[in-house]
Amino acid sequence: MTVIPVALRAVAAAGLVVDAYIHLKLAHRYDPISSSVISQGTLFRIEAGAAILAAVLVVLWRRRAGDAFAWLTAAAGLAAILFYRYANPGAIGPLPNMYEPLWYADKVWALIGQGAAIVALTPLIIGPRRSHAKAPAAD
Amino acid sequence: MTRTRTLRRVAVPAAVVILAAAGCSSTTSKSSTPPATAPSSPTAPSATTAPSTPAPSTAPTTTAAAQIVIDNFAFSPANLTVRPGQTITVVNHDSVTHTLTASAGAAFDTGALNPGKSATITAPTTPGVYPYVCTIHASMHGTLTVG
Repeated sequence: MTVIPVALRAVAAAGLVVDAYIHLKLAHRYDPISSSVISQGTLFRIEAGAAILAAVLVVLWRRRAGDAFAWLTAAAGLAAILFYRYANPGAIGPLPNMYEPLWYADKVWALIGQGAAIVALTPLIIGPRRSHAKAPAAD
Repeated sequence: MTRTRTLRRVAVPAAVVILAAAGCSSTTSKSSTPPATAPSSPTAPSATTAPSTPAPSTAPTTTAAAQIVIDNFAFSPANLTVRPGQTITVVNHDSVTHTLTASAGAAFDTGALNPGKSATITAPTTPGVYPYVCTIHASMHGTLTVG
């Protein structure tokens, strides 16, 4: 009865875990890229931490707010990868210049994980909630 | 008598001139040959100067400036041949930080090279082929040949 939502949550969580793993794996390499405020490695760790928290919320909490947080985490990571792959904006505010016009396996895997999470979370967010679906049926 | 005097007057100066000329010519030839003959001369000083003769021919390649430029996420030249112990200047023309780091061991490493900055590394003293990478952007790589 709830196979699809469970499957979607499983896919989203898996994608977020891949996202977190890749960012944690690469973080130390990107520590030298730094502004006076924060390094790219630290931003990677923040992304990884957010992705782990999001995966936990998606699997255990199962609320719209948690799903939305997970969606934003994945979307922000995906947007950053694509933006800095094709644009060289220099340092933006406290952010270092993270321009990197390269594709390599880890980056592609992170992108796939983020994309899968976004695709799986979107119907969970915009679709009717279980509680909302039950309420009309009860009436 | 007068004949012999006349002969002496002519012969002696002539001999002096001839000997002087011969002496001059021999000294000029020696002065021009020392660089060539010095290595074969038996005296110690020439023996010590002998090795200095080939030195100038090797000096230019040893001291020639070697440079690797990082531009558009690539090393240029990607393959560089240098002398053992030669100094190499690495210049980062990109807008992000890079490194030039030996793939194996700690043969050489620029450390974090910020945009627009340069650093110098010293080629290993052992001849060989030394692959290197940017530790931040692993797809950037090149080879330093020491020989």
